Amino acid sequence: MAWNGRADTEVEILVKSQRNKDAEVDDLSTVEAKKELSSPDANRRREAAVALYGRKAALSALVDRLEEEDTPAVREAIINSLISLDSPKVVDTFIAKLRCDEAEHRNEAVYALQQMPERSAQKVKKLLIDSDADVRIMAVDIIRLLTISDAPEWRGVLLESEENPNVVGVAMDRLSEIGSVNEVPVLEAVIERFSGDAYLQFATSHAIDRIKAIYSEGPI
Amino acid sequence: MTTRPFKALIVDDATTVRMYHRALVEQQGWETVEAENGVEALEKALETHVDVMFVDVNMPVMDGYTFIKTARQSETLGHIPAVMISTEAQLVDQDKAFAAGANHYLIKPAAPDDIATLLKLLEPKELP
Repeated sequence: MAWNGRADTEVEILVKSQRNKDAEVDDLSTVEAKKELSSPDANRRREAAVALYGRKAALSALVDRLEEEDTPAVREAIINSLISLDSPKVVDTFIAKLRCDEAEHRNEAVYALQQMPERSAQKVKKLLIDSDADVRIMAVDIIRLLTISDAPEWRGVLLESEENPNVVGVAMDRLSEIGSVNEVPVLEAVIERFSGDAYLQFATSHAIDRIKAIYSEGPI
Repeated sequence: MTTRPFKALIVDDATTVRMYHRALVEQQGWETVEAENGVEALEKALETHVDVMFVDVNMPVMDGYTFIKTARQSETLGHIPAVMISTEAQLVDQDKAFAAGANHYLIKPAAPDDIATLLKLLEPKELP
C-alpha cells in the first residue's frame, strides 16, 4: 500500500524523524521549567524537575542541576527525569558518579543504572574489570538486576578471575538469589580458591545450599 | 539486678553478609536484630533496645553514614556504640565514618576474632 506516492516504510521514517525533531524543540514550558531548576525554592525546583520528565531537550539542564543540588527530594525528581530520557549521556553521568565521595550519590547512581538495564549493560560490563574494587562491587550490584542473557556468563567470568574477596562476596550474595545449578562448579572452585577467608567460605556454602534447595524443589 | 542478653543491630543490604555477622555475633552469646538499610535500622533500633550497631556503608534508601549521623542526634540511640563495617579501606573512609559518629571501623570481610574482640570491648557494664 502507498500513501501520497510513498511506501509505508518511507512514511514511517518521515513521521519518526518529525517526532524526533519535535522532541528536540524547546517548547515554552520546557524553557520555563529549565529556568525553575535554579529557583531558590526547593519545591519549585522539584516541580520543575518533575515537569521535565521525558523531555530530551532538558537533558543537559538536568545533568547540570544534579551536580549542584543538595535537597534529596529534588535530587530524586531530577534522577527520575534523567532515567526517563534513557540516553547514553545519562548512563555516562551516573557511571561517573559511582566514583564520587558521597555514599548517597553512589547509591543514587547504582539505582539509576539498574533502571536502565539495556542502555547501561555494556558499560557496566566494563566496570567489572575496573581497577577500583569498590566500583567492581557496585557493577556486580547493578548487573544482578540485568535481564540480558549474557549476565550469567559475566558472573561466571568474574567468579573465576576476581581476586578481591569483597567483590566475590557481593557476587556470591546476589548468586544465592538468582544463581542456577550450572553455576555450582564455579562456586565450588571459589571455596577452594579462598580457603582462608571465613566470610567467603560461609557465603559460598550458603549460595550452593540455596541453589540446590531451589532446584531440588523442581518447577513451581 | 535484672539481666538480659546483649543485643546487636546488624545493618547491611546483603542478606549473606547479615547472616554471616549474625552467626559471628550469636556465637558470642549475643542476640541480634537485622535491618536492610538505614531507615529500617532506625525503626528497629527505636522499637527494641540494642547495645551495639554494626553498620555497612553503601546501602539503598539510607546509607550507613547518614544512619549513624541520624542516630547520634537521637536521645535514645545517641549513646549506642556504632561499628562501621566497610569494603572501603582508605584512611579517608575511616575518617568519614568517625566524623559521622562511628566508634569503631572494620574492613570487610570482618574476621571472626575481630567481631569477638569488639563485642567483649563494647559489652555494656550496666544494663538499662
